[in-house]
Amino acid sequence: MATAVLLRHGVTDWNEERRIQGWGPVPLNDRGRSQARQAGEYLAETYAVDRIVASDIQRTVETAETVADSVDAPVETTRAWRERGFGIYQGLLYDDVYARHPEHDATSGIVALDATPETGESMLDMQQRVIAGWEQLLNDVGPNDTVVVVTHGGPIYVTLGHVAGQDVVSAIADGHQGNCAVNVLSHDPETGTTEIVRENYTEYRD
Amino acid sequence: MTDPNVVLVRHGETPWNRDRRVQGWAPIGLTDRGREQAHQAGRFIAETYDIDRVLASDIQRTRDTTTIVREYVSAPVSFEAAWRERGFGVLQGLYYEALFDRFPEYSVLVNGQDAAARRPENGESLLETRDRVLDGWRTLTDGVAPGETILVITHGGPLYFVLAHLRGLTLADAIATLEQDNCGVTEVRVGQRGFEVVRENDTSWARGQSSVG
Repeated sequence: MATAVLLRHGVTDWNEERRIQGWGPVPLNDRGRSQARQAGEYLAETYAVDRIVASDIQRTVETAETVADSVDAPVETTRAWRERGFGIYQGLLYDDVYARHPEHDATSGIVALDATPETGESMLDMQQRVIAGWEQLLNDVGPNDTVVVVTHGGPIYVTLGHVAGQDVVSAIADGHQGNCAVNVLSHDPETGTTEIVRENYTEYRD
Repeated sequence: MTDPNVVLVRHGETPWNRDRRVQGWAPIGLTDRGREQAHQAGRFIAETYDIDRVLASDIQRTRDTTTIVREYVSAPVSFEAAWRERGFGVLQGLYYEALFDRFPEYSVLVNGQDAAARRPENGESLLETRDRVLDGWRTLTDGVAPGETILVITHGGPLYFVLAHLRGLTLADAIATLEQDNCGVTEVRVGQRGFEVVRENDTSWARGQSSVG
């Protein structure tokens, strides 16, 4: 069985302020760096990790590099696992944007899914990009490999939703992921089936 | 018939101006102080000029400033992307200090022409922005009618580009030496023999006004 561990990045100042990050190069804060260290230690104790794949945005690259300090595996970065690009809304507070522009809040309904902010992506664009990356990963993974994917909240919601056969709107509306939350998926390359073993797991840390 | 005039004004203050965050194209509204600045500048412009038409950047803070100014200045408006601030792409929302500290490759004061040509992902380089703004400026000044006065409501960056162009300054010199305050008024006379800057970053509308901020 192949194993994929989806790990959300550590906390940033913008997470704490509820600011839309999108592709912004916002660094981890002290708490986020400590979360990433603990995640690395936990993953090193629990799994024999072969590869680390990370979204190429600053907060996931920092998290992946910190994890790689404990887990002896190479880090590859890719655009496929990026958060949704929020374009001109980057940096605004979620509450302000959703109050003024409910069409960008995917939880407000199916119509919102294809709303594209200027220079950004729709929810559907993001979902298609991420699921293409996920399928590529399953295609490339060796039968007994363990791959850690360091990514963001949005991509984890849509991947878990895809595997669970959930529609995108509910996957995003119902999803919750703590910073450095661990999600474990087990994939049988023989049958092509994938099972969610663990979701939004953060109890490993003190 | 007198020479045509172009009157350029920067938008009123926003919360991100206060916090010194990179705004680019972000849809940020004005602060109470920014609205008061727009009212005062609007009165000043209405008393000083006979405005025939208004061109404004189509970003929220210039739209909001335009709405207030047009309470005093009755002239038709058209919103144009040519007068937008530089699009900062993925760098939008960072503090200016953190941006130039962490990414000095974007500072023209440190890295000159390389920095001016560098484009943030999903954004514009300084040079691309300058070309866009100066295209807008040429379209405007080529099409101005004798005796006409046009009001342009825009951002700090475009004002620097126009002034640097008129004075033959490099971008680095323009950025290092020029200042544009919120709702500062600049006036350029479009003469037969060239352009003349007759007013620059004038905020005398604020004189004796201390009711806000």
